[in-house]
Amino acid sequence: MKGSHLGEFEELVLLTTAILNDNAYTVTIADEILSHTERSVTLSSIHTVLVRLEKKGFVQSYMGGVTQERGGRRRRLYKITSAGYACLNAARDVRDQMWSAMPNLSFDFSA
Amino acid sequence: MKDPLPPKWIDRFLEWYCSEYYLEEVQGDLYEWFERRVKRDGLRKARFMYAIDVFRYFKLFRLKPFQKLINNSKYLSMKNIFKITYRNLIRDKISGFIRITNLVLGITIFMLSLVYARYELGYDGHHVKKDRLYRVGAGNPDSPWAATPLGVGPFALDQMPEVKRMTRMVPIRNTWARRGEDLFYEKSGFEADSSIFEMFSYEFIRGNPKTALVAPESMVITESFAKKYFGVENPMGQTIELLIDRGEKRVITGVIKDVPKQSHLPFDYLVSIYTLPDDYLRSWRNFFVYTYLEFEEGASLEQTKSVVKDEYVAQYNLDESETIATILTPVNKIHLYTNHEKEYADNGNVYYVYILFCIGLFVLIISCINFINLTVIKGLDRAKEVGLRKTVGASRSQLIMQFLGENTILLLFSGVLSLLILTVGSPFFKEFPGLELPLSVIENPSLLLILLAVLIVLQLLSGLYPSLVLSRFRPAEIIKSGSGSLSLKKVGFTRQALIVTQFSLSIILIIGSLIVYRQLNFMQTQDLGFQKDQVVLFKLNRQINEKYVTFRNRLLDVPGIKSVAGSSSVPGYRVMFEGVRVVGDDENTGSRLLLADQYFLETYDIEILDGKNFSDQVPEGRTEYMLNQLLVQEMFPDGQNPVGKQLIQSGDTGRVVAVIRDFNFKSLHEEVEPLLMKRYIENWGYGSVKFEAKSTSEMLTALEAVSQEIYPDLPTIEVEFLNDRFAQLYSAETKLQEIVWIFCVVTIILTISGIFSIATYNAQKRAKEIAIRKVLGGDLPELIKQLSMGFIYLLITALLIGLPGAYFLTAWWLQDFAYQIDISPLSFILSAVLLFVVIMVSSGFVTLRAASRNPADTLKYE
Repeated sequence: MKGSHLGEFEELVLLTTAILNDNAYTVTIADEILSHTERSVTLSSIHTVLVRLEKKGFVQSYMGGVTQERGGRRRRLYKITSAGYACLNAARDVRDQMWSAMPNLSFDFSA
Repeated sequence: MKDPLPPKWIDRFLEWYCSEYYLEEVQGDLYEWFERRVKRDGLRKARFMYAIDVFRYFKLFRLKPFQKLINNSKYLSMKNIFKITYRNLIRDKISGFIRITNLVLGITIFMLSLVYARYELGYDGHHVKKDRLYRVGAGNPDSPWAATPLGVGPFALDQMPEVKRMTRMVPIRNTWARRGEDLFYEKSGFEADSSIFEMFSYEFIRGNPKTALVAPESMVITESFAKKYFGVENPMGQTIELLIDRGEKRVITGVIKDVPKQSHLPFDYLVSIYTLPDDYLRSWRNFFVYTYLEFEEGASLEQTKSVVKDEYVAQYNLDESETIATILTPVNKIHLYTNHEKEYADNGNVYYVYILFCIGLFVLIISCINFINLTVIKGLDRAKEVGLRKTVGASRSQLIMQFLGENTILLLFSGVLSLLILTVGSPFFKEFPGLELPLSVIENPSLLLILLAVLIVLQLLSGLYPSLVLSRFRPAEIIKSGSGSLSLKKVGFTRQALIVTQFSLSIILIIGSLIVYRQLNFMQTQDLGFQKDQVVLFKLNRQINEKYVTFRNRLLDVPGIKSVAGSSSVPGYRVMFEGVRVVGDDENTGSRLLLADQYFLETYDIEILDGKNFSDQVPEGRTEYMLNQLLVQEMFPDGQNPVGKQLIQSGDTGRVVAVIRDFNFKSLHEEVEPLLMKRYIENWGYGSVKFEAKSTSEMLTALEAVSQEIYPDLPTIEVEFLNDRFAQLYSAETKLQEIVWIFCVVTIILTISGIFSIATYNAQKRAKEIAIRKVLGGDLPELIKQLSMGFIYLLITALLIGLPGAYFLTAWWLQDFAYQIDISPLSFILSAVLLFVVIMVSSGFVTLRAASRNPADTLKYE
C-alpha cells in the first residue's frame, strides 16, 4: 500500500504524538522531541510531517479549545490512530528482528 | 504594558498566503512559540525568528490557491477526466492502440506534407525586396526562355524610369579553381553586376556589399567556399585562379553566408561581370544571361514588357506576326511556377506541392474519420456511464466537457508522439533526395504552432461530433434496454457517410499510386531510341580538350571500353536551339543542334535510316550534317530525299550525309524535337564512353588512371552514368512515387484498422444473434457473409464515388507527360479487389473469431 512506509523523522513525530496522547500539537511535539533527542526542530517541518501523516491515516486531527496564550486562537491537536499504532509496531518488529539476526560482533579494531 | 507582539507585516504576509484551513492552527502555534522566545531570547530576536518561521511555513500545500484548486469542482472533474480516460484506454487496449495509432499516423503524415509544402513555397522568400524583383524572360508561350541576351538589362535600366536597378547573372558551370596547391572542381558560380547585393538579400560576413563586385577582378565567395580554400585564414584580398576562358586571377572582396538551400539560383562564388568588354555587355546576341530587374514600388510592369518586346523585334528584325513576349517572373515564383528553356536548376512543380498536400490532408481526414468512428463506437459501450452520470445530476454540457476533455488528452498525446517521431526521424526523412526538410522541432520551432493549429481543428472535427452523440443518451432508455449500450443504428447515417468517405479516399490513393508507379516504370523502361545503360559521361573543358585526342586514344586501349565520342551536349542535358537552312533558301528552320564527332552514333547505338555516318576526313572549311526524321519532315515537307543536300548553319556549309531515327534526347516529359547533328571535331562539352557491362569497375579505374596520366596537373575526371542522369530527370516523379507509396500504405493500414474495429464492434453486438444462428444450424460461411454484407454495400457506394474521382485526378496528372500510359481499367479493378480483400479479411477475421465461439458461452447469461 502506498504510504505505509515511515521515514525516520515521520516515525519520530508519530512516536512523540503517541507519547503526548491528548496534548499533541506542533509546539508540544517540538518540546518533546527536544527533551528526548536534544534535536532542535522547526515548527514548520513538524507541521508538514503531521499533515502528511494525517493524509496517510496514521494520525487524526481535531480542533482544541480556546486558550489565552495564543492570541485567542484554537489549536489543532493530533492523535495517533490504530493504523498509526500498527505501523509503529511493525516498524519496531522489523527492527527487533534484524537486531536478533545480527551475529555477535566483536568490535576489536586493533586487529 | 501590552503583550509584546510579532511584526505586523509578517503576520499579514502569513494571513495573505496561508489557506483558511491551516491559518488558525499555524498562527496559534507560532504565537505560542513567539511568546516563549520573547521570555528566553528577548523581543528583538523573537521577532526576527518569527519572520523566519513564517517563511519556513511557506509551502505549496498550505497556499490559498492550491487549497482552492483541490476543492474546486473543475479541478475535480479534470482529475476525473484524466482517470476515466486512462482507465478506458487500459480497459480496451486494442481499441486505444488503434485510435492513437490512427491519430499519430494522420498527424505525422499531414505535418510532413505541410512542412514540405511550406518549404517548397518558401523558395527565395529570404529576399527582402522579393515583391519588386522580377526575372526577365522571353519567348512565345509555347517555348518560354529563362535567359536573355546581355543587352536586355542595361536597355531596360536606361529606358524605363520604373526600373530601379538591374543585375545580370552569367552562369559559370563546372570550372576548376586553384589557390596554390589546392585545385577543386567548382560546380556553380556566376558573373554578376555589382548591384546584385543591393537587390537580393545575401548576408555579408566580410566586405562591403555596395562595392564588392565593382572592380573587374573582384570575387565574392560563400563561407564554405572560403573554408575550403583558405581554412581559418582571412580570405579578403587573397587571390583565386579560375580556369575559365577569360579572366584568370580573382581577388576576394567579400565573404557571404552560404546561399540558403531554398534558392532557385544556388551558387558558391560570384565574380564581377565587368571583365567583359563594355560593348559586348550591351550586345543582343545569344540568350545565356539571367537578367533581374528591381522595380520602383508600385510600378506597373506592362510598359516595361512592351518596350522590351519592341526592342527584341527591332534587334532581331522579327516579324510583328511572330509572337514574342517579355515574361516577367517574380523571383519567389521562379522555383515552382517556371520550367522554361535554359532554366538554371531543375525547378519544382507547384502542382506536385498541391498534390502532396492534398494527399496529406486526405490521410489526416481518413485517420480523423477512423478516430471519430472508434470514439463513437467505444462511447456506445459507455452508455451506462452516461446514464449514471446524468442520473446523479450531470448536465449535458458537463458530459460534453467530459468527452471533449478525454478527446483533448488523446489528441495532445498523439500530437506529442508525432512531433517526437518527426524529430527523431528527421535524419531518416532527409535521406530522400531533395527532401532536406526541417522536420525536427529543434530546427523548426514553428512545428509547435502548426501542431497546435492541427490539434484545434482536429478537436473541432473529431471531438464535437462524438461528444454530442454520446451526451444525448437518455438514462431511461438505457436502463430500460438493459444492455448498457445503444445500437449503432441510432447514429447510422453520419457514421456510414464517414466510412464511405474513407473508402473513397482510399480508392483514390491506391489507384493514384498504381498509376504513378506504372507511368514512372513506363518512362524508365521506354525505348528512348538510343542506348542509355552502358554509357558514362564526363564533362570536357578547355584544359581537357587540349589533349583530347591523346586522351581518347589511350581510353580506347582500355579493354572493356568500346567507343568514345565527343559532342557539344548529350542526351539528358540541354541541347541548344539554332536555325538552319538549305543553301539557296533564305528561310531558317529552327532546330535543336548537336555538334558531334563521327563516333557519336556508334556510342549511343543510334540507327541510321538512310545514308552513312560522318566521314573521318572532311576538307578544310566544310562540314557534314545529319537530320532526324522530324527535322526532315519540317525542312523537306514535299518528301524530297535530304541526303546529299547542302545546308548552311551559322555560316558553315555542309552536305547532309544521313537521316537518323528520332531519339529522345530529353526526358519523356517532352516530345522528341527536330534535331540537326553537325560534324565537329574540337572543343567538346561532353565526352561519352560506351563500355561492356561486365567490366564496369575496371573501366572506371582505368578511366581514372588514364586521366591521371594525361592530365597530371588536373584533378581526376568525374564521370556520371547516363542512366543516373535520366533517373535524375525523373527525380521529381520518383520522389512523388516514393511519397505516394508511403501515403498509400498508411491509408491501407488506416482503413484496415477502421474496418477491424467496426467489425469487432458489430460482432460483439451481435454475439447473441450469432450464437442463436449457430444453435439453429447456421454454417460459418453464411455467418461471415451476413456480418460482412454491410461493408460490401458501403464499398460499392464508395467505388461509385472513388473511381470517377481517381480517373479525373490521374488523367489530369498524366496530361503533363508527352508520353503517357493508358489509364487501363486494370488499376481500377485491382484497387477495388484490393479493398474488397482487405475488408473481407479484416472483417472476416473478426467474424470468424466471434462465430467460432461456443454458443453456450455467449448465451449462458441469458
